[in-house]
Formats: sequence, C-alpha cells, structure tokens
Amino acid sequence: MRRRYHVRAPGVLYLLLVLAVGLVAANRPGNLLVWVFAAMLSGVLLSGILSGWPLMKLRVRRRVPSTAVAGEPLVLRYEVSQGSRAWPAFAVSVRELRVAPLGAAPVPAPAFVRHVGPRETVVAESVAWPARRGALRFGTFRAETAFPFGLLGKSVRFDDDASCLVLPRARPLRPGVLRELAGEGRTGTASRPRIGPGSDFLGLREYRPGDSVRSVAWRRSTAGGDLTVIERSVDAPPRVGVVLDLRRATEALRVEGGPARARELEEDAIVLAASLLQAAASEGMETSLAVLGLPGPAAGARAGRRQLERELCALAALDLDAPRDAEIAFADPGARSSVIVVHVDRADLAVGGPTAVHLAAGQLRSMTVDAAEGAR
Amino acid sequence: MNVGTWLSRSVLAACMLALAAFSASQADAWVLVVAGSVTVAGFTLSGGPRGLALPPWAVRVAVLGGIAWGALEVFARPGAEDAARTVGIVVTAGICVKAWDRRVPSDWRQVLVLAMVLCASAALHSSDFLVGTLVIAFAAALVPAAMLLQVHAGSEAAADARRAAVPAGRRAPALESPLGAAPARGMRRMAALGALAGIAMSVLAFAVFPRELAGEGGGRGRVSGFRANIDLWSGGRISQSSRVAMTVRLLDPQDRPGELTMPLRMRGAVLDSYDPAEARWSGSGRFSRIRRFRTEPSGGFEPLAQRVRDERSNVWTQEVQMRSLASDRVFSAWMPLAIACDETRIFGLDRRTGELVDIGGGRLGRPGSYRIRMQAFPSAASVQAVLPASGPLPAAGDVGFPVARVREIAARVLAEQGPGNLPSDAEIAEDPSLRRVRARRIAAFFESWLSGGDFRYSTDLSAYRRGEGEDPIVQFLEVRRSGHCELFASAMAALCLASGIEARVVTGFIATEYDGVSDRYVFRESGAHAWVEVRVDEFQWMTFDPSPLAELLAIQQANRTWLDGFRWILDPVEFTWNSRFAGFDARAQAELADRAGEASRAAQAWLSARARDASAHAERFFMQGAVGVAWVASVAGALAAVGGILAVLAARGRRAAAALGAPGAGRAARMALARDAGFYLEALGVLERAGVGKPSWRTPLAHARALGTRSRGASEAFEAIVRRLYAIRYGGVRPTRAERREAHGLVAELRRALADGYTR
Repeated sequence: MRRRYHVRAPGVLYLLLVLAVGLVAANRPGNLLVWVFAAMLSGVLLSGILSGWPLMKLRVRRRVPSTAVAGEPLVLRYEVSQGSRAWPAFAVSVRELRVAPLGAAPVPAPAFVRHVGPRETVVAESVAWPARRGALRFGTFRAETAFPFGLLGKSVRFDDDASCLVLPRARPLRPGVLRELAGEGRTGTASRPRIGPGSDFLGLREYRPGDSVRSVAWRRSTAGGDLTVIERSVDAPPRVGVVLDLRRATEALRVEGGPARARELEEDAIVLAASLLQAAASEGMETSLAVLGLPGPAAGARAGRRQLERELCALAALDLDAPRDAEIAFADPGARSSVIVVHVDRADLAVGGPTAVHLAAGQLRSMTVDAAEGAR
Repeated sequence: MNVGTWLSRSVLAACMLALAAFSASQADAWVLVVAGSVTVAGFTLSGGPRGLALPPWAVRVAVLGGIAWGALEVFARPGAEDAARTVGIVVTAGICVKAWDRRVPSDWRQVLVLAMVLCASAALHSSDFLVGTLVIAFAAALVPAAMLLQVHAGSEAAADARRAAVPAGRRAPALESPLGAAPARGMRRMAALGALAGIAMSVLAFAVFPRELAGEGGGRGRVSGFRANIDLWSGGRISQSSRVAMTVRLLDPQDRPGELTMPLRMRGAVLDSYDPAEARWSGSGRFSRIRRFRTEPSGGFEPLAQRVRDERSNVWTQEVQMRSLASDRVFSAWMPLAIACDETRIFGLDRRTGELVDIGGGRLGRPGSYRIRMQAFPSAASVQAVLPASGPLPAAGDVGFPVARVREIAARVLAEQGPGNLPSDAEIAEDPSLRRVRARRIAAFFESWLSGGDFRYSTDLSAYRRGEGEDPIVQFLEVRRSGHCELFASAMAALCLASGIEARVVTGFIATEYDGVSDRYVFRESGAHAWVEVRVDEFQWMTFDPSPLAELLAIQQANRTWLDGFRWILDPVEFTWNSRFAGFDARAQAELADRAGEASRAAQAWLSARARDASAHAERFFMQGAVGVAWVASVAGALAAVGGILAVLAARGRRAAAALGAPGAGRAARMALARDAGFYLEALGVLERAGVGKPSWRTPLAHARALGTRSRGASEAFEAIVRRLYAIRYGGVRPTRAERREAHGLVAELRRALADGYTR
C-alpha cells in the first residue's frame, strides 16, 4: 500500500483566501480577524490530519466476477473495512487506476462509500462496461478521500491483480433460423442409455406398484409367472456441431475496409458462433464447438449450461493475434449431428462434410436480432 | 442519515450565524431581519425538485449586478472600513440570491465560502463580544456543514460519473453508496473532534501571531469609541453604542459620594502634535518621560510624587469600575496625585502630560477597577511635583500650527469677531501675567464661536472628501461646518495654536448620567469625547469643550434603547472578553510567553529536585557514594536492556505466531517459530514496503503466484521462501543455522528482484 497526499483545487483557492485574510489581519487592528485567520489556518492542518487518520487502517478487497459478457455491465465489488477501533471513515472513493488491455473497457466510474464505521465492513459497487470479449485485467486501485473539508486529499493504493473473462455477446436468432440450420438433427435419431419416456427397448425388470399397465411385458410375464415391465430409453436430443473457421489470418482475409474491418468480421463470426450455440443450448440440444486455425476446445458434444459456458469461454479466450494453423484437422462430430460452419469471409465447402451448412460472418445481422429489438 | 437534509440545515445555520455576525458588526439589526428572512425562506422553499427556485439567468444577473454595484461603491468610497462594509453587503446579497437558487454541490460550496467572507468582513469591522461570539459559533457550525458537504458532493459526483459511464442506449444497474451502522454518531464525533481541535489550534496560532507593541490605547480590537490618537479622515469609527463603558464614583475630601458636576469629563489621552499630511493628532514624545508605580492589593494608594503624599487640600477620590471597556488607559477627571488598585499592577505616568497607563506587571488583561486621588484645582507646586517634565511656558512666537489656512482663519476671525479687550504684545511684554489673560480670553472666544450655533454637531462625516492638499480642519471651518467632537476639538486647538497659544486635544469620556442609587456617574461607549486643554500659565491648563453640548446630549439620548437596562447582565463577560481577547497585544503576548517560560522552568526545577532527592536517597541506601550510584545505574540499565530485549522477542514471537497461523501456540513454540521462520516475517515486511503486501485473506503460495504477474524473480524467490515456511510450519522441519542463513539469503534475493522493477 502506498499513501499519498493530494492538494486539490479548492485547497489552493482556500490557501489564497487564507493568505489574503492574513495580510489584512497583519495590517489592520482587530484581534477577532487575527483569530479568524488562525482558525482558517488550523482548518488546513486539520484537513490533512482528519483526511489521513481514518485511512491509516482502511483495507479494501476487490471482488471481480470470473466471467462477464461483452456490452453488459460488469459489477465490481469492493469490501471496504475500517480497522480502526474508534474512528469511522467518510466519503471514500475507490477507483481503478488501470484496466488492461487498453480499449477493452473504459476505466469504470469510482465506487463510493459514504460511511464505514469502526471495525465495520461495507460493500461498495462499481460498474465496468467491457466493450469486447477477452481477458480483462484489473491492476492497482486506489481508495481516496478528501474528507472533512475537501482541501487536502489522501489516497491509499492497493496492488491486487485480478482478471475477468469477457464472453462474446450472443445475439438471439431470428425465429425459425435454428430449425432450418439444424435440419434432421432437430428430431434426434439415437437413444441414450438412460431410462426415460422414449421408444427404444432398454431392459426388463420386475413390476413395481405404480408402473403403467402399458409397460407390462405380457408374454414374458406369462412365461415367468411374475409381472415384468419393459424399460425404455430416452431419445437423444438433437446434436449441433458449430465449426468456426479461423484458418486465415486477419491480413489474408478478402474484406473491403482493411484490417480493421477484417477484425470486425472475425469478431462477428465469433458472435455468430456463440449465438448459434446459445440458441441450440436453450432448445436442449447437445452442442459441440470446433475452432479451425486456433487452439480450441476438445470436449465432445454435450447438452446443458456447463457445456455452453465452456464453449463460450473458449470463444472468449480466442486470441486472434496468434499465428493461425491451417493444418488443424476437423473431427467429424458424427452422422447424426447437424454441422454449421461459420466462415469469416468466404466459405470452404470442404469443411464439415456434405451435409454441413456454411454461414458467413456477414450474415450475423440478418440471422439474429439485436437484444433491444428483440425486446420490442 | 439523510445527508441532503442535514446539509441544508447545517448550511442554513452557518449562513444565519454569518449574517448575525455581520449585522452585529454594523450594529444594524435590520440586516439580520431582512437578509435572514429572505435566506430562510429561500432555503425552505427552493429545496427539492418542485422548489420555487429562481431561474439561472436571474441568479446570474443578480450576482453580476451585485458585483458591479460593489465595485462602484468601492471606487466611490475607497477607505478600508467602507470597502469592508461594501464587501459585506455584496456578500450578504449574494447569500440571499444563492438561497433561492437550485443547489448542486458546487453551489453549497460557494454559499459556505460567501459565509466565510462575510464573517471575515464582520471580524474586520468589529471585535465586539457579540460579534466574536457569533464568529466563533459560525466556525463551530462550519465544521459539520463542510463535512456533510464532502459526503454529499462525493455521493453526487460518484452518481454523475456512473451515469456518464453508461453507454448510449443502455441502463445501468441501480447502485447505492453504502452507509455503515450509526453514521450519525460517527459524524457527530468527527464534527466535535474537528471543532475542538480546530479551536485549540486556532487559539495557539492566535497566541503566537506577531503583534506590534500597541502601547497606545490597547491591543487589536478596542471596542469603544475612545482613541489614543485621532485620524480625522477616518471618522467612521464614531461609536453609537450605548453600552456602559465604566462607572465612576466621586468621593469628596470627606469621603462622601456625590454628584459634583455634570457633565463629567474623564481624561484618557493627550494629543499635542498634528501631522497635516495624515490629518492626525498624536502625542509627541508620549511616555518618553515615564515613571513607574507598583500597586499591591492591600497596599493602599501609591503617590505619584513624594511631595504630594500628604496633600489633602481639595483632594477627591475617584473610584472607577470598568464595565465593557478594557483599556490600558487610566482615566482621571483631574490631575492625579495617587493611584490604588486591587491587583498587583504596574502603572506608568507620563511626567509631561499626566497620562496614566497600565503597563501590566505580570498580569494578563486590563485592570477591572482602580482608585485615583486627584486635585480639582491643583497648585503649581503639586503640578510641578507630579509633572516635572511639563516644561516652561513657550514664547508666543514658538507656538504655531502647520496649516497656513488655519492661521489665516484664526487671524481673520479674531480680527472680525474676537474680543476687543485683548492685551497687546507691548502690554504683555511689560506685564507677563497678562499673557494668561490673553490666552484665556482667546480660548474662551474660540470655544463660544464654535459652540455658538454657526457649527452643527453631527456624527455623519460622509461629506468629507480626502483630496490633494485638503485638510479636514479647514473643510470643517470653511465648508462643512458640521462634524463630531474630534473636529470641534481639533479646530479649537488648531485656532489656539495658530494664535500663539499652547493648546492640546484631550480624548476620553464624558458622562451625562448620574445614577443616584449607586452614586455613580455612568460613562457609555457613545460618550467617547474629545475636548481641548489650553495652557494659561506655566503649571496651569484650562479645559475648554467647544462641542455643542445640547446637540451632543440629544444624539446620545436618541441612541438609547430598552436593551440598555439589561446590558449589565453581560458586562462582566464583555469586560473579560475585551480585556483578555480583544485587548491581547504584544505586551500580553510577552507576558504569556514569560508565564509559559516560568512554568516550564518551574517544572524543570521540580523534576530536578525530585531527581536529586532520589539520587540522595539511593546514595544513602547504598552508602557507596558516586560509585554506588554508577553501579546502580549500570544494573538498572542492564535490566532495562534485558527487559527490552525480552519484550521485543516476546512481541516477535506473538507476531510470528499470528502471521504463521498459530496464535494459540505456547511461549516456547512462539519463540521457536520466531527463530526458525523469522525469514518469512522479514519477507512479508519486504513485500509490504514494496507495495505488494500479502493480503490476510490470501494464502502465501497464492500470493507468490500472484506476484508472477509483476516480477517472475520475485515470485520465484517468495515461493521458495513459502515452501521453506511450509516445511517448518507443517512438516516439522527444524532448520539448522546454515539453513536459516540460507533462507535469509532468499529474502535478500526477493528484495533485489522487487527493486529491479517489474519484469516478465
């Protein structure tokens, strides 16, 4: 922790006023004016003492969520603890000094604590607005106060590194888009080795009270003498595999508008892939993600929130500045999977198989809706 | 705790106190009534989103108009007093306007600054007890107002920053600035501490503020109209206050009290030198021939000369009781012969003019009462005994007045209207005693000429304009023909001097009331007065008062209010204020320093005596003289060193146990931990000093890894230290001395890595 005093603009003006009063007091008879000058001077000293004293035992701990979503508010929480036994702290601002990488997010507005009592802990919040996906790193932050008079300020710096992974902001698909893209994968063509209301045979067991009469295997029951019930399996959910084609480097993309536009398209491709995965996961489908050209996730297709989080984290962690490897092979997710390949600029029909659907990043806005528009 | 409501009330209280202080300094209650009502109404009605606030353009126009008016007034009346008053009026208007404005934190700040300037203006104008009380109350009220403003402003600024950071089209989550438990109690505690500490510091700074040796008329901030010097251009300090300055009881030679004469004049200062460049009367060579007299509480009267010790002819006793006035001047109706006081004091007598002044003699403040023995018509022998430095009667040609126009006026008036039976120069040359007749007749003529009706008594001097080559006495005699007692006395003294008659201006008080119940003359602050003494003989000065007495009495009577009957309640407090605070000058500062020095020396002497006693006692106990003392001192020193070392070791052990997660370990275990794992504590200290201290909620290993983001070398060094610590703490390893040394080497490596800066 590093402590520092700051002279503020009101303090400078106040000092000028004190000097003026002092000059008049020195030249004009009037003990009361002398006392006024003395009181104003002691105000400066008192300001320095009372601003620094409560901060002597002030401790701040920052809580950063592990993930956030680009364009959505990221709430930073600060646990402000006053270690002093007798003195409270008032008007304490906690502000971040640096957010990396530059441009990923503006430095958030400071959190403000109106009062923290002796031996108390309060939680203040601040909001950051990450502009784009990726790893957001927070470094040094500072607690400062100009209490009581605003003439002098004192600050304490805390060095605490923390990071947050900003996920790409998935957009809702337009109605019917997923059904068209998923194709036969929509209905499901396999079963799972789990008991459920499916149609495929899984096994036999003894009858238990409460079993449906329709599930009784009458022939077997007659032969064995005991009631036997057929257990059926759960139909496997539809499976969608999303392939993100990033084999071409940003500079090699054929895009009008230069490298900046090319990078935007790459980000759009990532957002489109995320949107597809999120839509599929919300429909209960099993999803898988493959990234061509960059190291990506290795897990197979699964359903559920965790799988989606893993896939979105993988998309968030993609470093588009890393060298691309055009040789990374694509593992076919299987015959019963619908494959959707997202390209950046131009489609490569060799990827994904004959039944794959190929999309371009430029189709992002035509296939999705903006969250605000969707709300309307 | 509703900060906004508290802030509004605090600022309003501070503003009202500032307005009251300024109103009291101007002795004009209407300022408080009008401005206070407008301010209270403004604060009350303009608050909140539906408040009745002035539109911003109206506020700006009002503020600019006020500033413009103030600038014009300052140019028109450039005097310091008038300028301060103008500033006060402009600031008062500013506060009233801002009270009706919508307020953001910067506006609150402006209002408080305006209130501070208003208080400073009030303090510049008066050091009166009431003004002082209000200014101190304002200072105490300003502390919580400023504190609440900081909390409110910070909250508003944070909310504004939060709103500004929200991207367009998005909505931010609702966030609240948190409050702990019992914020009001914490705020009260901080405000009380701030106010008390501020007042204590300000008193200290007040006591050491450099002051000139006042010497004349008291320190900074006399509150009465009495002045030991007269500046004719600064007539604005004529006091209208009817506060009782002092009361006087006259005892005849048989010690019977009674009303002798009305009005009664009490002489305070003698001014015999006129500076035409500054239009200023002062005492030439004042107190250059001074004799000191010491009074004791039970010592009785101290004669001012040995030859008058037994004087009893026509000797009256004057008992003076100071009320609101605290002055170093000793007032006397006639020539003093002896002085007595109920306090141990030293008084100084100017042996040329007979002025008496309190020098102090080790006491702070001014005398509250004293007694004077005086002679109504002193003999030449008495005067010569008490005032041996009064000098011979100067020749007529040696007496003059430096303003030529006054000489012309004097000659013309004497020629046109003067008494016709004046002794001529030739007659005076034959019979020098005729000079006394001439002087008396001329002085009486000038007195009657000035008080006869051609000149009007007035305290309004606004028409007097200071210009190049202008003299206020000439303006008074030729143009204005109205003024107050200082101008009347100055004019008569100037005319007499211009006519070759030695004359001087005397300032003091005039009493026009007599309290028959207490047998006392009542002297009020508005009774500060100036008159003339004319030398008619070598040891005889006659008193003349050219001010129209009837008009003077009428003005004084008009200033009386029903409050005068109750002022006696505050008199003791006011006297203490005037004596100890308003009259605190360089002499009092020196006495305070002397007292502080004496107290310090007394404390040192006491400590030395105690130390000597203890040494003697020890010497007697050991019976070995100086050697025994040295031996005892050595043993004591060694014991103290051992105790200190043990205490340090115990403290280290406790710190080590706490830092290593073993707070309940026994003494032996703590000592062992401190010895074996001391390198870890040292490493923590290195990290703390480098600004990367380990938070209490993070494990050592996690912190070592977190350091890797800043310095790989530091991370590796600290990780190595942590692993050794774990081995000792949890693995039961007992390191050897060499291993401990090696571990301390790792700490040095950590220190080097951190000093190298951040590397990746």
